[in-house]
Amino acid sequence: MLNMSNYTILLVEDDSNDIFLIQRAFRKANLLNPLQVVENGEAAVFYLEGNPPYSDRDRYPLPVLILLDLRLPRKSGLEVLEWLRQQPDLKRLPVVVLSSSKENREINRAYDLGANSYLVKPVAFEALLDMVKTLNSYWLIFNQKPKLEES
Amino acid sequence: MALFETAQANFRRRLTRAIALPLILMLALCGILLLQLNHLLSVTRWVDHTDQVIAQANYTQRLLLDMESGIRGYLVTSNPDFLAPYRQSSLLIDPAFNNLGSLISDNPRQIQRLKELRAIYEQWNRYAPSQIARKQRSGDYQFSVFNTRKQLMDAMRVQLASFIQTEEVLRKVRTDTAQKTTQLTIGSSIGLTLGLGSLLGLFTSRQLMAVSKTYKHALAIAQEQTEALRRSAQRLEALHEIDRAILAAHSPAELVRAALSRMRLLVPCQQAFVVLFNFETGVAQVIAGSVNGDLWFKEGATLQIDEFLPGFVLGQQRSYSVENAALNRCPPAMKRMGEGQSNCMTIPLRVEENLLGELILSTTEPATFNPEHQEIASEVADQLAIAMQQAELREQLEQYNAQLEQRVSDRTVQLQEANAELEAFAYSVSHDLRAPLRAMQGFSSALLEDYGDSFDVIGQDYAQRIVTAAQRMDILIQDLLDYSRLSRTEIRLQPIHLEGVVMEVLAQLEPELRQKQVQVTVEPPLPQVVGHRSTLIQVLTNLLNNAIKFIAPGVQPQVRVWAEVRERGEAEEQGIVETRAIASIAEESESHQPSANSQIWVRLWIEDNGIGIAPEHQQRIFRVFERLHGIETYPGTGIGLAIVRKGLERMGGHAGVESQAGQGSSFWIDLPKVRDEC
Repeated sequence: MLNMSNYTILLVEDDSNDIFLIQRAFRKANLLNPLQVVENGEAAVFYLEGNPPYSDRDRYPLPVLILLDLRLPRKSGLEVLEWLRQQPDLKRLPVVVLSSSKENREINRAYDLGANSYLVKPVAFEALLDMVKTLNSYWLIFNQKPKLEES
Repeated sequence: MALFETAQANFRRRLTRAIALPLILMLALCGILLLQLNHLLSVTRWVDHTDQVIAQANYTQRLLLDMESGIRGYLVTSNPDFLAPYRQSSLLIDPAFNNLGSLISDNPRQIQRLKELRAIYEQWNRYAPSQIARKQRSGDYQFSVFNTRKQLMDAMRVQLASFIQTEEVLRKVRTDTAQKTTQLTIGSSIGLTLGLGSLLGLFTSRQLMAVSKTYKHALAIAQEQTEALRRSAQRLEALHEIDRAILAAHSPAELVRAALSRMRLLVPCQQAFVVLFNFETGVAQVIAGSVNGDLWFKEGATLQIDEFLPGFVLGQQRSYSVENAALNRCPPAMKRMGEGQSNCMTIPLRVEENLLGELILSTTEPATFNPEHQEIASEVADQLAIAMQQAELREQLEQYNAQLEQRVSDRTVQLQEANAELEAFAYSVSHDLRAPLRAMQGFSSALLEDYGDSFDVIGQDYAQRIVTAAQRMDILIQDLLDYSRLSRTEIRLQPIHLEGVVMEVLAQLEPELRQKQVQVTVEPPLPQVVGHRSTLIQVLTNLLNNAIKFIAPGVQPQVRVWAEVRERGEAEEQGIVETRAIASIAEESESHQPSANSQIWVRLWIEDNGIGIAPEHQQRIFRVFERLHGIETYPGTGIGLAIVRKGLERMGGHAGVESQAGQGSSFWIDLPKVRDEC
């Protein structure tokens, strides 16, 4: 196995049930990628900036993919997204929005701000499992990762 | 009119009299003159008669003398030639005597005298033949006889002379009489003519005077009436002008000024102004006026009502019905201002017994206002009252309009807020309601997976029911969101290839179609329509889903899709369920649609061999949450056809169904056909 810390996924999600179900789906799908979870937008920003309590990069490595919920306490998912795209060293990070909303307004706004994908959380667990499997194969295996630092 | 008729009759009577009476009098005069002339003629005729008598007597005397001188000549000369006069005259003498006799037959004295003369002649003539014979015989004559004859002759001469004398006297008398009669006739004629003439003149002149008086009277009346008519026309013209001015005016003050300045041309006054009363506040307000110089009260000035209506008490409920326009009534306010303005005219402004205010005219000229002025001012006041009332109503209407507009914009804001709230609600439904659903679903699945072994069959069933219920709720929320999104999203209509849309929907449903072994027939051509693509896809998905869902067990579903082109009228004649097009949508689609009266529609049919719908249910099924079957038999949320209806509504089309229970259903949707490019 390669150093899996290089394949960390950051899940920004406030609903503990959803966190549990996504983690379960990851387990069921046999994904070995470490899944870091932050429960609000502000925490997501701190994590990505490497600010306390996330200053230890070994413990909290930069993710290769962010799964971002939109409705979050303190800072919304869209705000996090907007901030992220303005950070020179982070702006290329792939972001998959994971939302309950199918509203066109939301979807379009997310893409406008630079989301790479928009997924609607399915209600059925089987569907969630399928989705996580697909996510893995697409974003982590087939997809070519960008270089984060500006050259 | 009656006046004129009597005048005319009078006139005619007098004229008849003036002509008829002179005529009668003239005739009478002529009669009298004729009588007189007749008398005169008879008198002159007597004079002529006497002349004739005298002439006849002279003639007789000449004959006698001829006879005498003839005989004497013969007797002296013996020449028979001398006898010729004698012979001639002796033949004529008897007729001459007879003639004379007949001429004087009316005068006995002369008859007597003639008789005597004739007797003497007879005597005288008796001697003549014997003397002539003797002379012839002997050539001499008897002197005695000669002498006797001379005496007889003299006697005859005397007789004749006195005869003539008598006649001459008579002639003189008669001539005198004739002369007198002539003078009398002339005198009386002149007198009569003069008398009658002057009488006639007097009478005629009196009659003519009377006629001319009648005529003059009638003329005066006519002139008076013409004058009245002219004034009335003038007044009417002025009132019309005031009307026009009132109509052109925009504010009460403006219309008062316009009306009063024109009224002052007809009613001379120095001040004319209008006050309006507010009986609730007891205030009288000067609206405007028309004056020479300065208005006593400024426009807009407010005074107490009792300055105009003496005895007014605020709050006392009684109607102030001022008696009709009052000449010489100066309101206390005017008296207070003094300045020797002695003459006023006060006219109430009234609309249907409601006193609005007063029109006040004043002047320093004494006795200026007459009833006609009062009448004119009253008419102006009436018009002003109505105009002011209308102006007030108009103002109220404008205020009311403004209020309405305000209310509409308030409502719009409220609606926009409500709409925003609704969107927020939909957003929160999709987010927040789904999260617990996912938890229910996910954890019951996890429960089954991880602890399924420790459950008995009932326990597993319970957990499974939680999963199913959560799934159903998810679908329900999804459908509701779809439905509400349909009402909210902006729809832009454009031409759509119906065939492409149908194929796309069929492709989406492919897994289910295959699973249920549905036999789908699409019958081309499917023309182009005007619509909104994603909404149409939503609509067709729901219709096709229904077509394959409501199938009796064991029956292979068969779906047939085809289209027909039709006029709008036909579409509306159908007694089946239809949706109403929303006007705003129709407007939006204007650029793609032909005008409404030449609308050509495409009706797309989706026909199935399902369980069908009884006619009594065909209305209901298009409403939200309307279901005809239990969830277990035919699962669904009851929103599908509501989405169909709403979708067509938004696209300006119609939807409906033809069906019989147990005989399949034919759902249709109408959308405007794209006009062929030509």
